[in-house]
Amino acid sequence: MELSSSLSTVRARRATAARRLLWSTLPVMVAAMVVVPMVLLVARLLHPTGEVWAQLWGTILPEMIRNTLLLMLGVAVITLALGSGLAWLVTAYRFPGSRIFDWALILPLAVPTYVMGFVYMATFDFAGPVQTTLRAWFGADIALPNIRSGGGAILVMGLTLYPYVYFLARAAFREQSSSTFDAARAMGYTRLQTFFRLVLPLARPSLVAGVTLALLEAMTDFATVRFFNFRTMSEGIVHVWQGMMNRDAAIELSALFLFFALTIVIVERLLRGRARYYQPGRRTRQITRVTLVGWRKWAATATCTAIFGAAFLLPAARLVSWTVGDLSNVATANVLKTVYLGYVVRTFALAATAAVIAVLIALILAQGTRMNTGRFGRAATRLATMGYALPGAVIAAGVLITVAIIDRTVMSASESLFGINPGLLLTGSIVGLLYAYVVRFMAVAYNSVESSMVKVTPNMEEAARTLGATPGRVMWRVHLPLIKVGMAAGAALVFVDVMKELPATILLAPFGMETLSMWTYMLAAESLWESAALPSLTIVIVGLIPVMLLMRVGRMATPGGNQ
Amino acid sequence: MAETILSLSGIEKHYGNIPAAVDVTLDVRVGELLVLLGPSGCGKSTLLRLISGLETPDQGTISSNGRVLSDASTLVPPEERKISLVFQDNALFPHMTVCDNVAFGLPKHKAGARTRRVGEVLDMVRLADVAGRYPHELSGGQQQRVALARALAPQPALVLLDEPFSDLDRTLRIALRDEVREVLKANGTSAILVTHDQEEALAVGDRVAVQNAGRIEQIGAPEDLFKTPASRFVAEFVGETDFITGEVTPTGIRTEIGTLDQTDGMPVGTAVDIAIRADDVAITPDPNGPGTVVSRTFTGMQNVYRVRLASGAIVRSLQPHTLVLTEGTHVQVRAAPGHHLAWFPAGAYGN
Repeated sequence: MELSSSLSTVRARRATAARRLLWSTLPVMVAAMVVVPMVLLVARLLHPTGEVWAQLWGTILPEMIRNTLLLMLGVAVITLALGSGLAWLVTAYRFPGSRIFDWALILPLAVPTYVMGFVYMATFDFAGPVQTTLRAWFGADIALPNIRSGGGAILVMGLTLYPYVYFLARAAFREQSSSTFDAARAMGYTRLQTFFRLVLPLARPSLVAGVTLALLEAMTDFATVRFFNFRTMSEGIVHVWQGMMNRDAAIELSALFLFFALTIVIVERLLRGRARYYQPGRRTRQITRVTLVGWRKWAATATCTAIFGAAFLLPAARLVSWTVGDLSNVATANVLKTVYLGYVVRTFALAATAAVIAVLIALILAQGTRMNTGRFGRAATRLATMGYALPGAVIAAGVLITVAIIDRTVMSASESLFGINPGLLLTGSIVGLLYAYVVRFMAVAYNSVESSMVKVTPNMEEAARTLGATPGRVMWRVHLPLIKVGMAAGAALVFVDVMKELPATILLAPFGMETLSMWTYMLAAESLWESAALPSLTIVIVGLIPVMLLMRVGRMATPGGNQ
Repeated sequence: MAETILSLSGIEKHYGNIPAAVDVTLDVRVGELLVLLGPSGCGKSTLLRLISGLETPDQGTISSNGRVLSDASTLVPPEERKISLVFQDNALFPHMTVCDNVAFGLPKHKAGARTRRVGEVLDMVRLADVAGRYPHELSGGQQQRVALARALAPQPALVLLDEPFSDLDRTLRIALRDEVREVLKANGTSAILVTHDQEEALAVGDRVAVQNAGRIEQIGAPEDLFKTPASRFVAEFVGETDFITGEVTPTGIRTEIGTLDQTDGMPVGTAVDIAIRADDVAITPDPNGPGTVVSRTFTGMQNVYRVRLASGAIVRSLQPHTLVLTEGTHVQVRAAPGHHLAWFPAGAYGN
């Protein structure tokens, strides 16, 4: 061959050039993987199906848009109030149980909204234990406001999603120095006035970020709102896709929804301004905690207990009691055991596969952006990780049309070349589902891998090279040992997110690949609360892993924070 | 002339409009410690990266021991050059012990030979007792010595040191630079050390190359650089130089602080700028003297005075610590070099 006869040094120069080209292309390819489905989706809007829109507009579309906006507004208000209020309470005051609530108030994050949704439905509905008991005590006239409503859905989502705001607000309050706070106090402001005039505005970027995360979660959800008869856009897409079997209409609806989601992200950027989430490096004294006395201390404890009870203890207790009840019943227990095992194995295999793929691609992305730090590389990374902001149903629709195009291309190429029609290879296969997962959760994997990659300085790589190590050996001996913890953490986070994911799963899962989350949803939709408890409990327990990780990070960021 | 271990000729490297290496030609002799001195951003670190193969020159040839490392058609990758690099931040691998860090460059050695070699170099830098520790458990000076040991372990043809002492405090810096020089000399290793600290350069270098805006302005023994700077830049950068104007007369160069006993063959009337240092200037208190003390810096054994002359020019004067003059004191100022002073054409800044 020509190469083998030429000088090894020439080969080295070519290899360097090729490597550089490869690393500058890879992030762009990953970004394309995420962007192409969305572009195809938007392209559908350019040729709208007239009658579909007329029909949608005449029936469900106005209601969907109104409800989605109402949901956003309600969730924003509740999460902001609960998140920042509780964070301030545990940061600035000492009261009975304050140290426990400090971390316990994050736990509701482990409960998916749809699990919370059906637990609340089962508990507070007309036939539920609460209303039954009340009627028994006070007679048949007593009635609670109907839980099966928009208000119920908003309440449930607010209770499960406030920890996003709580966690970021708590971190922001902790890093505010006591000197600015004390300066305001010295100028005659009370603690409460200072909170509203100084502490909250300073924490604005974190609060906005937390509310945005909560809104994105609320937006992607379709199951909870369905339980509560509150049709939002996400629910509408699933309804049109699965209930009406009209995929084209669902795809066009998704394209519209995409703009909705992007608006939220853009508003977030605008509200955040030039401020950053954190101002690291400043190790200043924290705001001094005040010990509450008298009725105030019990009021504080009662508030935290009520929220924690409603958002975590109640669902956890109900799930445990249902599961125990169901397992102690011999008839159901046997069925449950055999079926359950199948779901667990399938779900774990699926989640593990998606986690490994996501982390490997994140690794390529992180290394690629490191090697070309230009504006182009950064843009590619940002695009490649934008999936976290896209609702699951939108991603599912985008992936569906992308995969269909690939299939058609392969099919016609194969027919013209070999005269064989291979049929639809990817459509309806596990590939589409994995594709959607990777797009949706790339940001989670990337952030973990990237933050651990920082530990490898460019000088370390270069020192290794000058000591005679080839690029491969540098990767193996220097990079991998240093980033393996970050990779594992990223994989764990993606694993849990995939396990909890519902909309994309329900739209793309091939027949026979139903996951725990789907099983939970289907049982709950049939009001089989007891049976739905076991898969829900499994999801909640595994879901506690990333919450623990979060708590550890939170504690490391604030040394001595638990004094 | 001693054998050369590395030679660069006509090396060019530009980043856009910024010159990092301009027509750099230099040789490193076997066993020599060459110091590359220059202000930050002059291209000295880039030159090290070009030599080690981490960057590719735009033009020119780099060869080592007669083997071409880099020219128009050749590019040997860094791992095949046998040139190791020590960084300012030491770049030790945080997940490996001292021992494993040092052994990193010896993958092809048999286990026994590797252990022996690691022991040797650790002894050399007097760190055998911390072989089992991790980098973060060591002091800054120890970390830098491990980095040196790691660089020396594979017996490289050349060691490059990129500002290795800059992150350390002053006392440690001086102790460590002497030790590094001793280790390199005892080992007979050729090395290039990059620094922006002229005192360090003069103290450790066998020869010093002064680089400015990518160009090597002068290479020579420290004393030569000090005595006969080749350019105004070298004069300013090496040895804290002041400039005063002078005019050539038949008896010497006349300045406002006395006539220097040298004409250097220049025609009478030539205007020159003379490079003059604190040890060349004498002052004596005199109420009618033309000079005014501007400030005094007490350095322990000596006082360094800054004196404003009648023309407004400022010169420094080195005086014993016993002579204490307050600011504003009027003084007589006299140039008393006792040796030849370097000069440059008046006003022409640059060369």
